[in-house]
Amino acid sequence: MPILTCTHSGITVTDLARAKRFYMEGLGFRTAGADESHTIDADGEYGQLVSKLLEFDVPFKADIEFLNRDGMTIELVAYATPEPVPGVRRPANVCGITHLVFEVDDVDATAAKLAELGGSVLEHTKIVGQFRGTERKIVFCLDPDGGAKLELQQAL
Amino acid sequence: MTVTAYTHLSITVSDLEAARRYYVDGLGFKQVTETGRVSGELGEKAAQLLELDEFDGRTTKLERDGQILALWEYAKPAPVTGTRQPMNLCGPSHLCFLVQDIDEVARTLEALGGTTLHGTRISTDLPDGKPRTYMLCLAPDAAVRIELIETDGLPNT
Repeated sequence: MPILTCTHSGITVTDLARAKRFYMEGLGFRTAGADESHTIDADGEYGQLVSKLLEFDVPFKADIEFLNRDGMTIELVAYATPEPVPGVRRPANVCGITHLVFEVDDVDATAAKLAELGGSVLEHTKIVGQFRGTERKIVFCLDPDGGAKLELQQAL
Repeated sequence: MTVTAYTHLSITVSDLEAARRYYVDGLGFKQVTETGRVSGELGEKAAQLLELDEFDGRTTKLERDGQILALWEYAKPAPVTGTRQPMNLCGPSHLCFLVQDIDEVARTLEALGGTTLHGTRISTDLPDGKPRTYMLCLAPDAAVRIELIETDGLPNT
């Protein structure tokens, strides 16, 4: 198999420091390593190359941080140019990456913590029901930019 | 208050079998759960959770290198085939893979229903002097960006 590894999934954000707090303090991610945090400068050759890769017509500049937990890595990309576009909550039946799922021991406390860290809790989505043979409480939240949906699940 | 685990990333697809072939045969994932269906009373609960009027769908989970994907095929409501969002739109943007031969992998993915964005191909030398080639592809449904990075080994990236 010519695929060496699946390295990460990317998440676009507006404010890297705020996003790091949210994903680390709220969801338990850790930095992947000091050398993984870097800035791609629009004035440099690499920034112009990356702009082509990402289909932009202006040079690309961003701060980037890799975080991981439970063997999965996310790449937070905070755009400077082009400017980031605020998140839009698309219907769940629109094809594409829809959300990240977390197991928690207290849905309400975790959701409250995420709200403290700048996220939003979609209270109207909260359900309790039998899923995978277990009674579970589930709710959706949004990250501080409103672009990433986060599903919190608690076994009751 | 503890977040005990990050369990998976969820992806909506229009054809579960086509998507499973793409991620398994093309990108080396392994199917780790049987395909299950959510409908009826459970579907009503799921619809509330997903902010939909109704829900009937099938799902299966795939894994490779610790990354777990849940593919969801919608029957009700009908899936909306995606268009790729700009990378600077806040939210999940792509999945990234290191590969040995970027063109071979891109051809394989195309044969499995994907699209190669040839115009995105770039090559550069890393600070360690090693050459690297990047290119973006789209999974079936044209909604999920797949970033391929050609490298001659498993580096620290």
